[in-house]
Amino acid sequence: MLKRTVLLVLLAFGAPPAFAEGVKGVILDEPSPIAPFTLVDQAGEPFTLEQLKGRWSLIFLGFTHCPDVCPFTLANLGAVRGELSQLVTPEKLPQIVFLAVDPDRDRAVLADYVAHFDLAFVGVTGDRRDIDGLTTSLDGYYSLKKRGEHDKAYDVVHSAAVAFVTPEGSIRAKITPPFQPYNTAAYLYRLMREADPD
Amino acid sequence: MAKYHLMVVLATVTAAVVECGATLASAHDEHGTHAISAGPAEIRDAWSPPSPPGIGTRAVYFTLVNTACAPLKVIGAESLDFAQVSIHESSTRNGIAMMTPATQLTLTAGETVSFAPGGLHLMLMGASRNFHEGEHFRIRLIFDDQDSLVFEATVGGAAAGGNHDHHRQHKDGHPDHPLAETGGS
Ligand SMILES: [Cu+2]
Repeated sequence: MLKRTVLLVLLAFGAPPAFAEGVKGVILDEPSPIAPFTLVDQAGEPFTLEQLKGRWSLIFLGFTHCPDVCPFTLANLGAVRGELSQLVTPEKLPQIVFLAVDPDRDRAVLADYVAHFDLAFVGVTGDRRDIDGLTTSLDGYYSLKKRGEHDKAYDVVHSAAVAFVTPEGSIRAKITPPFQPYNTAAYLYRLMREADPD
Repeated sequence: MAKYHLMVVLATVTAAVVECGATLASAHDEHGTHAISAGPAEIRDAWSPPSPPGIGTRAVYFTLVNTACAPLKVIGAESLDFAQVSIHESSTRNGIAMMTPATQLTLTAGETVSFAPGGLHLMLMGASRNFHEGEHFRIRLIFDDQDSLVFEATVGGAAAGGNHDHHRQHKDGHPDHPLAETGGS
């Protein structure tokens, strides 16, 4: 288990109440390193731990056939990124990574899916073993609720949290819905500033 | 580009609680020809987020108002454009997101319920085709007294539903073609 401290951002940083108010976040005492993994992105290019290095990332676990929570979260993360673009230079903007855990259905539509939300998003999937590896590193969870071999409309129960990953590839914090764009951006910006005051 | 965002701003509930029975007459006046059942229901701002091609699952959101004096029980929904429609509620428990089917939903007299992202939604599965932004499709909401309400959902952002209000109509209004006519406006 990851060692963690649950803190309201107000307590953690003594921020004024209007700043990052109401963001549900868990800041890890000690950033938790992500174990090496090999996945592929929506263009079929390899996506490994290396692709998490050198910039901040927001990683969200879901599936493309998710009609409610995933589109809602991705749209909100896009809006968070938009808010952050007011605060940091483009090269410091976190990349948004969608870990698609239902490859049987996700693979074929992943490129269109990601482009639909934001061309800057990265969608990654792969073999079950590799998906599970990253899921474990994220302290995440998912379960395919297939009701039989031919079930094509099954739900996937999955963690709602979004991991905020450092440019070194370690999880710094996990945030959970709602992802109010302005407040969430302020929350993330504080963590980025704390790690790199310039 | 994000086709829609800031869905956190949920549909504004503008329903004024009307006196029991008051909408009966007005609904009849406005929408003319069909008989209105004893307990009108109203649907406002029905919309469905755009989705990439190839995904046959989608959610529909709206505001449902029970303008009647009696409780309103929704027991299901159907659409000619989808193999299956169910009432779902998304929730997050212990950090895990899941959808739970609701077999029925009861609104007390005058109650307004919001179907909104991250919560209650109609879940549509097995789309007959891809729907593009700005297109509409019809859904029938079914009540426990066998009565129902047909409405149109617009594919687009939260504002896409516009001001189209749909009022409940009596089942006898169009017995042969259950989804052939829209209710309300
Ligand atoms: Cu659902």
